[in-house]
Amino acid sequence: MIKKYLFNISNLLPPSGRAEIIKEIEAGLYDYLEEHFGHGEYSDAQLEAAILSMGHPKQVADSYRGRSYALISGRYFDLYWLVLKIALVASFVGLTFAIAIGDLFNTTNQEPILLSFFIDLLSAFWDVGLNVFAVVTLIFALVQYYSPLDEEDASDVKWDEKVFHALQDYSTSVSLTDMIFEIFFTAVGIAVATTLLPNVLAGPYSRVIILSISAVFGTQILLNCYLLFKGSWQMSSRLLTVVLNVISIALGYLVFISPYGIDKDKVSDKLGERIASGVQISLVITFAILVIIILWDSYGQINRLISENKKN
Amino acid sequence: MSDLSTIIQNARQELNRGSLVLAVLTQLSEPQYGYSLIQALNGLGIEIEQNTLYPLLRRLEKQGLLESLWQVEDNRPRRYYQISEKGRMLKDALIVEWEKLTGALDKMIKGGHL
Repeated sequence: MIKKYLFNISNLLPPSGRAEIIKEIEAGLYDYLEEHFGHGEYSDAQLEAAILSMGHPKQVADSYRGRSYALISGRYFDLYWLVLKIALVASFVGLTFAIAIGDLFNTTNQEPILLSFFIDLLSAFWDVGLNVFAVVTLIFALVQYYSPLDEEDASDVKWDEKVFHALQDYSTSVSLTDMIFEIFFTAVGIAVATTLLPNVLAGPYSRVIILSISAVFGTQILLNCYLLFKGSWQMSSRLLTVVLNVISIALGYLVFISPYGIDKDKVSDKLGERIASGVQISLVITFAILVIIILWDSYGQINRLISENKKN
Repeated sequence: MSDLSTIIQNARQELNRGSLVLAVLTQLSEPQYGYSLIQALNGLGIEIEQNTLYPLLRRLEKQGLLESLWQVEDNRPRRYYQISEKGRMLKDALIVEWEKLTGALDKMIKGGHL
């Protein structure tokens, strides 16, 4: 019960200093219990009394946070900084990979390959990096501006047993590692899709496919940022993840298998006849692995959705 | 009427908030943990809630006015606070201000009744 209460407070606190504040509040709760009910095991009613005496999680968190009027502040700043770093590093990795492969296909280039690679990488990273910085900053500034959490005055908020039992359960919390992992690889995916795919896609729909991939990956990053803000999964976020997964499989099919996808002849010509037959098999295997990973993720989301619905 | 009681309640809160730092500093000559300090203050007639006192103690410690130490008692951690040298200097200065203010207000209030 105390764990659930502390989890709800910690969700509203900035990551820096969060652990110490939570430890302090927990110590305060046990001080209350000891003073009122002595030592030993405490009943649910006693734990509830201690929790109610401390106040609503928003009130408690507000007292520690104070109010801020900066563009990005409080609990959002650490998260903003984290997402920005991940997005920039992922863009750099993605661009390095994409430009290195792109240079292989560029037969008209007369410059030394290493020099051309570094010039391309530097200019692309300057361009992409500024865009990443602007977009991430804009998203966080908007969240900060419109966030109901900061707008709401928690001093008069209602706090009783009913409100406590309606608080979010800590078992639905998102894993920070999972989110960082997903944001990183999705950002790499965007960088690769927008830089490398224009060189290797065949057919008239290549631009539509690249735009769709960027839109799906972009939505995935926004969803992950939202989950990091909220700190927990909801039914809507699970459903959106499943929908994005289904669309990703369709796009994967278009890129790796369909005639509108990767131009196998172009790739084979460049890599040599010796491995030409291997290209087709590699694309099918890549698509199959992609489908397995996505289906496994979707299965997990649907399974949790069903068990949460049963619990409710 | 409810408007007036809200105004009075807010004004009382403002008044208490201003004197809270001094009240806390006067009670921490000896180390105390948060909840024991709440009880001490409540016993002396200063009503303060946990979610007000704990962040206040943390802020005062950050400003170097208090020193704190985590101690393990009965297998659980408890944070003890005590006034620092800087805190003592602030307390002395605030006491001088407080006496000036209460003296002046006393005169005004009594003058108002005459």
